[in-house]
Amino acid sequence: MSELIEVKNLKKYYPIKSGFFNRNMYNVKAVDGVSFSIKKGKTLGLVGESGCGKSTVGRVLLGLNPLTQGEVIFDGESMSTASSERRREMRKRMQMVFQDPFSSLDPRMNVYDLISEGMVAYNMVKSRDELEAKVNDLMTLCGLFPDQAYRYAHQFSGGQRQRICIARALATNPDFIVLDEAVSALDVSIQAQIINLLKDLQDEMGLTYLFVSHDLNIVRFISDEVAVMYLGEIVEYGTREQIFDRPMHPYTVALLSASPAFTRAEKANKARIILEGDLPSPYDMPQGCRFATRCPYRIDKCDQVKPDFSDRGEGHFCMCHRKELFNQK
Amino acid sequence: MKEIEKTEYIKSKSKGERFFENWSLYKKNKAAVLGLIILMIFVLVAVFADWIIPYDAAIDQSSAERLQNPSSQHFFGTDRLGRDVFARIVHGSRRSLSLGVLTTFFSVLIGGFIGICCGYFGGKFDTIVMRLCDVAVSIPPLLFALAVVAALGANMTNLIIAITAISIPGYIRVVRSVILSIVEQEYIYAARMCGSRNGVIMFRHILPNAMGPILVQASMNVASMMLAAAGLSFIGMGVQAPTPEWGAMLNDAKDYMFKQPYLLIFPGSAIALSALSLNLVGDGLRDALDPRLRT
Repeated sequence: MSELIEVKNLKKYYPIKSGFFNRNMYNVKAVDGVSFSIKKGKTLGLVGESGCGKSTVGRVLLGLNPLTQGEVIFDGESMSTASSERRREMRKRMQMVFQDPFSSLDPRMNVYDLISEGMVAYNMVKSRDELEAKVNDLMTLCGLFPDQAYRYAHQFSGGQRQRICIARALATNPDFIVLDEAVSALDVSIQAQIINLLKDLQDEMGLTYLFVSHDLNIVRFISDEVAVMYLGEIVEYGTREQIFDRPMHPYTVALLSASPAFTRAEKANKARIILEGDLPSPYDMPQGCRFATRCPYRIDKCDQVKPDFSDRGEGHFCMCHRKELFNQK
Repeated sequence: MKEIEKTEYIKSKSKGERFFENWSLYKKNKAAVLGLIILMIFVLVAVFADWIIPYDAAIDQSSAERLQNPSSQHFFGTDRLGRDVFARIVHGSRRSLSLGVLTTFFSVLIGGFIGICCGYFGGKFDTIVMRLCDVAVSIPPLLFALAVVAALGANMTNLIIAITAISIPGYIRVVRSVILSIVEQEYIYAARMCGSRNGVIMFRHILPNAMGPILVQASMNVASMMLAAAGLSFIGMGVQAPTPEWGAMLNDAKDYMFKQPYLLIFPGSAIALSALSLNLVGDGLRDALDPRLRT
């Protein structure tokens, strides 16, 4: 079990330019020093509220948007130092399923062309017959009817479209797929189908996922490890059990309390934590802990000193000064 | 699932089938069919002009038959030099139509290509081209065309070059703005994720999606191209004097507007009708080629 993908100190700043000479006034730090790694065949869930930079992590990771600083190592090879041609070759083994299945399929292309695009771009097939057979296989694999191959994306329902997106991502035979809110645009019954499809595919083909989502229940279901992001930083990182059963960071605790409880026992145990205070301005981050403005357990130290991202045992990382808070097992 | 595997999926459609499918969509739009019919008539007239009426009738002057009303002898009457207006319109269609269509074609081709590059690559290239466009549109278009024709010499080819040149900046802007809205769409990122290179993304993804507004703009432009050519012809910088051309006929006739309105009505309606038919065809094509409108 080796690491398939490793991200080291990833940073993505968006410069805000204004003034007479288009000077760089300040940076919006969308992702600010994120590091993680995913083992082959495993799923890392990346959760956080909207605007915390989780989608940006996925996009930068794949090179869709250039990174400001940091390193992405895929299967032992650094993507940052590779030539653009080499990067393209590496990207063949990395794919992405986008959040919105309505806007991520070209409305002018039929399903056949959409699915075969990657195989054609990478010269993976020799003949038209082979291509047709592959498209047929992929469509069947993803639960689509191959006789609908010449329909256009708008003729499908949301769930079917997401299946097309998945078939499309699988076409280049990838090892690693970024699922960027892959199910949040679908309704719940369809979400379950797609999630199960993704799980089956993972078991069958040994895929590695980065699952970006804000839906905690789905993350809990699909992930092996979970990273919680807040304002461009990972504040807590651990296995699924560690994060969901023994959360350590006040933000994670608040986040978990916000997801709905279903059973009577859960409801009885649940204390809803409502965060107060405002998010700090994205281009003027506080010196200390970024969560300090909303944290119910804030102490003076939090405003001045940035807490370390430290191991609290068994690979459970947390970025908080108040180590004593949620340590009970 | 098992049953699905058995079904034989449809083989790709042949060109003939695709054409038939597009045609059956196109013909649902009655206005577009009407436009196509009118356009076909104009094209046939232009092609078979010599069979309809000999070219001599269009340039033979006769002072005895000046400024006549329409009659069985001269269907559309005669102009101030006694030339048969019907013959001039029939023969003028060759020049007028090819002027309008060719200049539009070339300016869409060149302006479109530059516009796509600007919108897609952006950056310094985009800034430089856009500033050049600003400079180009700040020169009065007819004056600019005049300078081009004056420099190159007055004939049909140079006229086409001049009119194409003045309309290119407009196309660059239209195409660029359409492209800019498409480049940020998610499916462009998805295509890049599939490993498609810039050329494929530009011409297989962006261009088909930008086609609608470009087609409309182009079909609207044909008429104004014809009129621009007419203006140049009028001052002797385009089609030379005896050669029949609709725009030139209009300019010729405007002194007789009240005395002999037929002289204006016929070439004017020829321009209006051909422009209208092209607009209708452009609209129809845009809708027929858009898969989103299919059911």
